[in-house]
Amino acid sequence: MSVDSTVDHAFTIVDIDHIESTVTESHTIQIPTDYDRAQFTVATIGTPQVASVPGTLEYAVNYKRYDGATTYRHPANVTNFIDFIPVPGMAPGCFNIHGWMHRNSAAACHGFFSGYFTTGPGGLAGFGNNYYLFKGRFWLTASNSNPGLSWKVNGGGISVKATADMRRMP
Amino acid sequence: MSTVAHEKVVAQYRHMDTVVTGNYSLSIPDGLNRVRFTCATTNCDANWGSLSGVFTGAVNRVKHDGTSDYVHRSAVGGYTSIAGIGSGSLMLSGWMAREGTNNAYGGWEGFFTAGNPLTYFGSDYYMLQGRFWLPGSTALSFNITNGNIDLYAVAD
Repeated sequence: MSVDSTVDHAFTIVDIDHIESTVTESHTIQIPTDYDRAQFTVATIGTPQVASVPGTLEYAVNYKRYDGATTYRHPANVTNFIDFIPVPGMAPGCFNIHGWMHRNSAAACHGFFSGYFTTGPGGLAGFGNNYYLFKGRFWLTASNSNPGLSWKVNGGGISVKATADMRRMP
Repeated sequence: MSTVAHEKVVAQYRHMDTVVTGNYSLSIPDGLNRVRFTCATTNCDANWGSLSGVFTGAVNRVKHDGTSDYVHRSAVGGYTSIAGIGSGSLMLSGWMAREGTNNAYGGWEGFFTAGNPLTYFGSDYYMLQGRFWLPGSTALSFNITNGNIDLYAVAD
């Protein structure tokens, strides 16, 4: 296939680092309409929340305690979560993931992420005795607009970096 | 907008709304040593292997509820596949790096379903982790039969 010689089209969607602050804010990862992929990292201290903005978010998450003692599966089919919702088991602690999403159509995206979270305070420097390995996938739809995935922290620190790099193909 | 001068797009396919059959490959170009990729497929059998016909892989998968762990190890010639994907969907991200002048190794993680497209998570899905070794080749391909695929890979 014919390929680009260099990547000169990476587009920064979100670049926020308030991990050392105490804030209540959200940041939305939305693939620009002329791109088809985004990659992201998200870190929070406090209670992370996730939502689709705008539209509908279906997601499934699995997490497992570091020692295998506890495995948890969030219900596989959840729909119509337009408002912010917490992921069970997370609050308050540290949350750190990386992931990606592809555009499926003009009004739908799908993606995957993996990382870890803790269930208690202590900051990123103190992982504590309990931490969980974490994986999730999601499906975003919007009736007439481009959906996005929004991450929020309520009274904590947050860092979000997201970049789009796959130009929409003609 | 930013520029990373040494990166190169080595694969870009978007057929999520078009049914296709074929091999969709990514390879490490001359002068570069690493490729990172993301791949999603639906409604198809997704196989992968090396274009040169030699592929060594190991795959671990675990069912969403932990009831079924599976270890797959293979040293095969030609294409190999992950048992259980069937006509489901696959999402994974990974990387591969050059070893020597014409070998590659890599790893990836993601999930797959056993028969549902991405829009329906269904009651059964599997977490997936894998690694691979490509002797004599730096190319990895995904073989799609009557399905959809999104694939994007950048060398850096």
